[in-house]
Amino acid sequence: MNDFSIEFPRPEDLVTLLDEGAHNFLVISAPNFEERSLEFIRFVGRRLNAIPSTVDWRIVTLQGSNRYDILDFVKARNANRATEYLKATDFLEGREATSHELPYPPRDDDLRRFFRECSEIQAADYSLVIDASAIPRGVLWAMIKLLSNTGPGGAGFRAPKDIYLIYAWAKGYPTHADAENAGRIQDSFAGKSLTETIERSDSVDAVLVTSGNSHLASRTLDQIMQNASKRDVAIEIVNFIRPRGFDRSSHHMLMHQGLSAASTSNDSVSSSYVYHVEHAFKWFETLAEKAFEKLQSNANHTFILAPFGPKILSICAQLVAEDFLMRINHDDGLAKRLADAHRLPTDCISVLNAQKTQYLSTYSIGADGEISILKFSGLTQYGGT
Amino acid sequence: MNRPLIKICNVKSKRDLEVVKSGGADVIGVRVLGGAFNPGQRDGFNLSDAKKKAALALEAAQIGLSTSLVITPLNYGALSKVFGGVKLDFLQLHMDVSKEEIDLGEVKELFSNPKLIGLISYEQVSNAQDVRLSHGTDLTVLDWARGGTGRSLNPATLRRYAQAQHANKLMVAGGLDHMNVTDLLGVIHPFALDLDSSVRDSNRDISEARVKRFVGAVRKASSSASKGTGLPYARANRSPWDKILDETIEEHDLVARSKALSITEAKDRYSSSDAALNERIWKALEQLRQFEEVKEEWLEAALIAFSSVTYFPTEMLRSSLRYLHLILHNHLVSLAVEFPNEPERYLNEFHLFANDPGGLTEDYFRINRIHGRLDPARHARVPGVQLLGDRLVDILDCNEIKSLSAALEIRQISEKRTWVLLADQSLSGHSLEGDIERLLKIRDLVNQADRKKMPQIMVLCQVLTNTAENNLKKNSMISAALKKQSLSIDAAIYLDDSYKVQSEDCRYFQSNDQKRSFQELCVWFANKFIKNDKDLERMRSRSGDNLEFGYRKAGLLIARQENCPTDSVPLLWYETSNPNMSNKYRGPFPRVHSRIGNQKTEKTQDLWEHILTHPNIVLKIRSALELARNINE
Repeated sequence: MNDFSIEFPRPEDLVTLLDEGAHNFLVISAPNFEERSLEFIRFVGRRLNAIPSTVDWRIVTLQGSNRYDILDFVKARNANRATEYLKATDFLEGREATSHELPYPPRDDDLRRFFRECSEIQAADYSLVIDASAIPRGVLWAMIKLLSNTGPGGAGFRAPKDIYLIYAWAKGYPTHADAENAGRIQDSFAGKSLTETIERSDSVDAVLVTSGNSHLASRTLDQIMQNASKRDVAIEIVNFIRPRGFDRSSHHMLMHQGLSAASTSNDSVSSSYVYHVEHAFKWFETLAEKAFEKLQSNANHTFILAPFGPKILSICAQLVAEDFLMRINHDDGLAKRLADAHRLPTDCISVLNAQKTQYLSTYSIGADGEISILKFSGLTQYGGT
Repeated sequence: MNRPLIKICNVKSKRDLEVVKSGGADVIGVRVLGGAFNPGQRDGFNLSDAKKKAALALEAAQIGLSTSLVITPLNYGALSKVFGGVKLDFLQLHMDVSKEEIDLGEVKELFSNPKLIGLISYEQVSNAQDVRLSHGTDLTVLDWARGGTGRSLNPATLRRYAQAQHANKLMVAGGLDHMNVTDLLGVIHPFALDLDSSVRDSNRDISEARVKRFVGAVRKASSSASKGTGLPYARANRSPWDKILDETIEEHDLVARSKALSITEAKDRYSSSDAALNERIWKALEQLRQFEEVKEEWLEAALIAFSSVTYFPTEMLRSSLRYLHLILHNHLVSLAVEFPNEPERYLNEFHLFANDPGGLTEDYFRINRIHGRLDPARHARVPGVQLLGDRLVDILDCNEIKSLSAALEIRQISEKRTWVLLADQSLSGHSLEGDIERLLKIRDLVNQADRKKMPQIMVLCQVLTNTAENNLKKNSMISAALKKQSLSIDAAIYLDDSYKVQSEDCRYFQSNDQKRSFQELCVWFANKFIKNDKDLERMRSRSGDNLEFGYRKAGLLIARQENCPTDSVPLLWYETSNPNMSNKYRGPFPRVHSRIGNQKTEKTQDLWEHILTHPNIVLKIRSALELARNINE
């Protein structure tokens, strides 16, 4: 089973750790065209006058093929602002605010090269802080897997002791947001379509998170329900409500009532609510536990997580899914039953995402000041898949 | 005449006069345009044209038509001489009089006291939230600035304007025809209607047929006898349905809101309901409509409010208990408490009080799968702060058995490192404030009795308003404890001030007029129903008013499946208790009151005074703790 642990520290506590200077940190800010990609720098900058030398702060931008379109200019501008924030009032105490441009999507070699360039801070045990607010989920995951598979320095860099993933909440979303993720819904492990994911199982547990892109959640719900007559299907619709953002959450639910109605009109569909990232993570774990029990008695069961936003919940879902997979791999009896049923472990668990097909906006608007942090430790025990 | 006057503008010939007359219109408009329209003219206008118009006006009077002379800035004295001898009914100043150097009194006198009509351009008012007459004229025409554009006016703007002004001083112009005038007259009853291009044929001549058609439409729309007859849906032919504008529905998301409410409530039917929510809302509006003094705009505002209710489904609140427990769990973990797969060990660490002891405590334990709630060895049977007070009274009692039993419970509670005060909702903060203060004082007493004991107090609310939070923080004892971090207050759902109907930035209404209408309705309602209802005497007394905006002016529009709180406006929850009343009312979320009438003031306050100021209380607590310890040993 996994020996890594997950916590949800407060941002103020992280700032205190950065300030104390007792431990090395490599901090990665990744500004893009979203305003909230600068929020963590501002958050720290409002609280500290300077950053000690135990903190190595890097600015990373991802460069795709569109070097001269509006979004790219906005991204470049934000990267400049991030640099200025770090240079302002000698925040880095004379040290450079080093920028790195990685190609998008980055290959593993590109990531290795980057981490090697940051190797100085890695001389001792260090923690990695990544502002994940605007990093594409795939890139983030690639970084984490690369680091978790890294030995003690052989690759020219070493894995951190912990990773802090920072997520700054947006103030709002443009009206085009829902139209942007109109592409294929697919499994992030094996790249299979949703249909392919469920067609080989006779029993499905699905968890749909509705708080991001609800059109995708609706489509997923429809597709699963279309197959419900041939399968034992149980769907949990999870609504995320931020305690001090109830108005926005309730407006979101207002605009996507079809999902609420589904749990009224259908016995296979139930709904629940979560109020904090940690709450969501623990609820996903609870639902995963139930699904695992079903899998243990039915090798043809599939557990689907469909976390269509916000991103921090997608990360939680991914972690729960990875843990689910590891549990399968560590259960010899189950592994054998799966083999008998001609199923791979990755056939039993799926985390869905959608291909972004169009960029119609800056994706999010502003930052509302709230920051969530997910910390995981014991990375080298994590292993990843 | 019970219909607006109909004016046909830009009449130029005798033929035009005759057509206007036979078409059934009332007023002709003749134009003498000066200034920019006739540059270079000595007095700013074409004299020959003006004489023709004056002759037409004379003829109009002879055949029973009124005349409105439409002018722009020119030499008023010179023109008045041309029109000397003509009885002008109206003088229409086609200009922004606030920007012109014009003495209205003088001009009126020059033309022998016709009614002066000023111009307000539609562009000025269309986006303004509050519109006001700004001229000193007798009447106002509302039109696009240039006039004669044929563009229609927006009924929503018209209605906003009409609500702010006297509609009987308004002449409406702008793209009027026989179809849109029916809609317009459903919204506003102006003094007059001004039209031009819509009654002309392709040759730009005034068409008798078109004038007749327009006049016929106005007569029909204005006639109360014909209202509602021959219409298939009588239920839609009354307020607020017949007048509500598409814009209003759109601006307030009424379709989405009412559907969402229906879906949520269908799954989680309100406990005291006997019909679907939409039907309950409709019935409530029907009941209000019966009262003559209830204005149409009030009903519309009520519809908006009812559709905007925040209804908390059961699962949302159940899930919140898991979240609140997570907060407690994390706190206990921070105290280095370990829970190695023994959930019942939770009960060693905290005592749960509920602000309103009832099903909430049971739900909390059950949903979070914490066993042993009723095991006296794990969790004292003191579910509320009031009962804790009773236990303290018991230890002051001379009866040994009573005192010992209480001592055991007090000791058990004191041993816990955390006291949790669970509340389903704190909307004003009033009730919670009392409980928190008492817990703080009791903790203080316990600490005095045994310096090692200083439990953390955690207040966990399912729903907390900004008002409640601020009121709690105003309490100096609570504020001090929050600063010292020996007290914390958390909630799953926070409602900010925009959820109050009296708030500046109230979220429910898009315009100040609508908000004002709803507030007026609330005040009327309280006066009509609440003020004299004996069952609500106690509530009124404690609130200090007639509950116009709910208990202690909370001004909320919220409801839960079990009951609607009194902090919501009474329009939501009130039900007439007197069966003999001729006009009854039942809100869409009728409430079951936990207290009615006006009981004698509870001795609660006396009890607490007695406990907290008793000279021996600390000693008694200490003795109780030691006595209990000795027994255990």
